[in-house]
Amino acid sequence: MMRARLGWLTAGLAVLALTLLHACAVTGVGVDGSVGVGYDAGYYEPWGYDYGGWGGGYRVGPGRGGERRGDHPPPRYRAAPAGRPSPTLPGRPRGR
Amino acid sequence: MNSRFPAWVLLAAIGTASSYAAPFELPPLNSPASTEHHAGKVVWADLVTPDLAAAERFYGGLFGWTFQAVHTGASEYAVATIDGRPIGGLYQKSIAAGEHKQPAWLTFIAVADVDAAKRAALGRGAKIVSDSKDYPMRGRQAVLADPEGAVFAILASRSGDAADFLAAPGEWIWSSLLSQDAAAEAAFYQTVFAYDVFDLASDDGAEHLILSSDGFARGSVNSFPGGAARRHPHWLNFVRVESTADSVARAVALGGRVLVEPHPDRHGGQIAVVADPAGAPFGLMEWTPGDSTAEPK
Repeated sequence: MMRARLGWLTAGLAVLALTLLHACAVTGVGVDGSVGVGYDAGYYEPWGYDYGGWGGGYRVGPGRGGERRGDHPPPRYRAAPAGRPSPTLPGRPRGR
Repeated sequence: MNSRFPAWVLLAAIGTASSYAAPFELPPLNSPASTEHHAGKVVWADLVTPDLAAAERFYGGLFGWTFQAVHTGASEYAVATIDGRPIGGLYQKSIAAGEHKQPAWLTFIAVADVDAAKRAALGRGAKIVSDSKDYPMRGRQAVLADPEGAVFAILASRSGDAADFLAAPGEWIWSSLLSQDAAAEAAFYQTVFAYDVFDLASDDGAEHLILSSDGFARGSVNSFPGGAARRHPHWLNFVRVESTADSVARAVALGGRVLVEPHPDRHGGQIAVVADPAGAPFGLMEWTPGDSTAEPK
């Protein structure tokens, strides 16, 4: 009888340990400087994006290099020197 | 009999507990490791989705990606590869019934020092979404929201950064930040990543700023176009395709939907924006080889 109770007690403690370890795995304890246990980058954005208004002269892609520079008002960033051509994507295919 | 049952429970509990406690092993970005480092380059993207299997069917069918499962404890993650090269991750995270959440691709930008970059970002108004964390093989990363709330990740890859080659079809080729105030956002990213910033002329007067490092264009910052009713700033990543029109048709056949119809962009090729079946947006971009001749440094 005593042995059976001891067994149940051990099992209960094991389940408690499992619960604690599960909690740690899901939440990723030790935020700064810790080693990854769960994955922390699973972030959902607020629902719904709007892609209306694309068209006409709206451009988002890279140029081919050397495009004409814009003439927007003095920027809050440090603009690349006017003499430098605008950049493009790397051109060398992989393996060459 | 009763005295044996708890031992069963104990063994099962220990087994399960050890699986939960096992480290979440994200694979390295580059294998074999690269000796190159390209701060400011977009080096990875992670999709957060409520249905990993459905996402694998969609992206596998659309781009020919294959997937390597990384199951540890409660985390369901798969690495997408093309021709054996890892190009992104898919992470399953449930959405509670009645909740409206936006599945999205998270953009990872290379840094040499995550904590230094984080400090610089916080000093310019960023917020921490997920603090710095080490993954033994991938490296150290943090997820931040920029001053307008666009979420991005910074990553110091333990296996270095891939060399600057032209993306092959099926690989990420471009990233655009859609923002309220492109100039202010460009200033923020310049502080964090030391980008050179180029203002390109545009037909509609909207700001189209190119972020550059190592002499290459790494991404753009755009002000939202007129007419967008809901303007939540975010990064949008583009996959290179042979034919944007064909890829759009295939995306729709696989359960996706079109957000922006194919149309020519600055470089002369067609681009489009589509959403996967869970609603995560991404771009499609044609890029004719041979037109950009810059060589990696």
